[in-house]
Amino acid sequence: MIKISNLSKSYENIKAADDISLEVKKGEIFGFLGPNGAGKTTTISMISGLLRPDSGSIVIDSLNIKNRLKDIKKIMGVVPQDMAFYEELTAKENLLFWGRLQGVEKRLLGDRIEYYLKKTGLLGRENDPLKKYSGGMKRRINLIIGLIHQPKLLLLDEPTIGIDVQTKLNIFEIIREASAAEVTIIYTTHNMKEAEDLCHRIAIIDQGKILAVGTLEELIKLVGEKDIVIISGKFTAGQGGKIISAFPDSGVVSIGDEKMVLSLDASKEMPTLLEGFFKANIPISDVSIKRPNLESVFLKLTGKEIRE
Amino acid sequence: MRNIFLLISKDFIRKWKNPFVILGFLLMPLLFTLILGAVFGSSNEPSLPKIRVLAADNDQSLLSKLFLGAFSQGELKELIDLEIVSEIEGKKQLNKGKASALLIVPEGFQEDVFNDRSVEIMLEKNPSEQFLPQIVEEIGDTYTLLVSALFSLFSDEVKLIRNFSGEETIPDQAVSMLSLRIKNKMEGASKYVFPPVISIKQKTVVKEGEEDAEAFSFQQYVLPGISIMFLLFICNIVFEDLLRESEGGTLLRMMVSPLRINEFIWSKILTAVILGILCTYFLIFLGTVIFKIQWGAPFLLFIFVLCLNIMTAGFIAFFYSFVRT
Repeated sequence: MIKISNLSKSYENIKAADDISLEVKKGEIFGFLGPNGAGKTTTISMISGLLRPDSGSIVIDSLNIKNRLKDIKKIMGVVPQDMAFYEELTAKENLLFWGRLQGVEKRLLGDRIEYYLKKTGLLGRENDPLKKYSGGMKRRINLIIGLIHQPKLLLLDEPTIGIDVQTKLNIFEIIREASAAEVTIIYTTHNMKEAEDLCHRIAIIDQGKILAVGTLEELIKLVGEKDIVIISGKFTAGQGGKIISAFPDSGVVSIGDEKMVLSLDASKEMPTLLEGFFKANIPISDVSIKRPNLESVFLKLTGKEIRE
Repeated sequence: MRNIFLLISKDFIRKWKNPFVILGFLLMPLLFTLILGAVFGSSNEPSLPKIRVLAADNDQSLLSKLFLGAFSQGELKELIDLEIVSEIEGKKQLNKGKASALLIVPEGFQEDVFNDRSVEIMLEKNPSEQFLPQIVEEIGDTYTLLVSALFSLFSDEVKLIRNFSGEETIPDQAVSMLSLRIKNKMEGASKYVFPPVISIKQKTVVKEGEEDAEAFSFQQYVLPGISIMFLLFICNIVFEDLLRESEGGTLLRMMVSPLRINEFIWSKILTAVILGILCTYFLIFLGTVIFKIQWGAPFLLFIFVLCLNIMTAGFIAFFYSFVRT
C-alpha cells in the first residue's frame, strides 16, 4: 500500500528525516515509535503531502505523491496531533462539513455520522457545540473526522495524548475495526505500551533515522533473551568500564559518568556485579532491571530511554 | 465551486453562532451618528443663522434713517437682525462678540449726500467670525452702490427737495412737479432696466417622489462615512479567520483534503463581500428608519454597495497577504 524509499528532509542543519525507507502492507497498523523530535511528525507530514521531501519517493496505492497528490488526498485520512475542528459548531455540523469537503455524498453522510457517533458513544450529544465536550470526547471527534470518508490510508499522529483509558480503548477499537476493513494505518506514538498493544509492525525512529523495523517479537529478538540493566551512582565512565570488564558475557549498551546501561542475565550476574561496585567503594543510587520488551529494545538501539 | 460554497456556508454558520462582535460593529456607526447628530445639530435647522448687525446713527437725519431702515425691509429682514445703538455701545458689544458687524453712519451724512460730496459709511467686523461679517460687507457694498446710483439718477430732484428742507411745508405745486419728474425718469430708466436681460431663477431640484426630502441631513453625511470604517472592521473579522484556521489546525486538515488553497482563499474573500453587503444593507435600513436618510436610486445604490464591499474585501485581503502570524 505504501512504499517509501530513501526519504530525507532537513531543516537548516537538522536532519528531521534521514534516508527513511519502508513498506507498509494493506490493512496493516504500522507504528512509528520514537521520542519527541525523533522525526515522526515530519515523516507523516511528507506522507500526507504537507511537506515536500528533499529527496526520496513516496508511493501510495501505486500513486506517486509527486504527481498524483490530488488523487492520494481522496483516499487518505489524517488525524493530527492537535484537535482540528470548529469548536463553536456542533459535532454533527463539523462532521457534515468535513465529510462533504472529503467528497462524501450527502445521502451517505447522515448514516455514516450516526454510525461513528454510536461507535464512540457520542450519539445524543451530536447537537452540542464541541466547546462543551471533554478532552476525550474531542479526541474521538478528531478521529471520526479522519475516518468519515472511509479512506484507504489513515495517518494518526499521536491520537491518544491526554485522554483517559476508556477513551483510549475506544479509539483502539475503532482503529482495529478500520484495519480489519483493510484500511492501512500509520500510527505515530512515543508510548511503548500503545505500540505493543496496537501495531502489527513497528518502526523505531530516533534523530530522523529508522533504527529497526519489525513485529514486536522480531524487535525483541534484537535484544536477545538478556535483560536490560540500568545502574546509576557516583562513578566515572572509566570506573564503570573497569567493573564491567569482569563480566565478559554482558553487553554494554552505553556507559557514561554516573550511569550505565548493560545487557545481561540479571538473575545470574546481578549479585556479582553489585558486589564489584561495593568492593570498589562506589555508591549506587539506583538499579533498574527491564525484561525484554519494546522499551528495552528502544534502550538497546538508542542507548537512552524514550522519555529522555 | 462546490467547495467554495461549502466553506462560505460553514463560515456563515460560525458567524451566526457568535454574532455579537459583528452586531457590535454594526451598532457603533449608528451610535456615533446619533452622538455627532446631537452635538452638531439636527437636520431641520436652516443652513444660516440670522446675522446680528448693530448700527450707530450719528447723523440722526431722515436720509440716515431711510438708509438704515432698508436693512430691516424685505428679504434682508429674514437675513439680518438690525439693532440701532450708540457708537460706543456698538463697539462695546462688538468687542464682546455679541454681533457680527457694526455699521456707523457719520455725522453730516444727509448734508454731504445732498451736496454731492462723497460719504463713507464705516463697517466694523467681528474678527472672531469668518463668514457672517463677510456677508454683511457684501450686502452693504451692494446696497450703497444702489443708493449712490439712485442719487446720481435723481440728483436734480434731490437738490429741489434740499431747497425745501428748511421750510415747514412743501407747496403742492412743487410736490406735483417733483412727482412728475421722478415718474418720467423712472419710466425712462425702466425701459433700460425692465425687463432685465439676465435674471436668476431659483429652484431646488427635487426628484420625483422625493418632494418631502429635507434640504440637509447631517446624518446623511456622517453615517455612510463611519459605516465604511466599521465595514473594514467587519471584513477584518473574516480575514482574521485565515490566521485562526492556521493556528487552530483546521487549515492544515483542509490541506490534506482534496481542497485547493485558492478555493480556501476565495471562500474568505467571498464571505467578506457577502457579509459586507448584508451588513451595509442592514445599516441602510436602520439609517432610513432612524435618521430618515434618502439613499437614491436602489439599483445605483446596489452597485455602490457591491463595489464598496469588493473594495474593502480586496483591501483587507491585500493587507493580510503580508501577515504571517
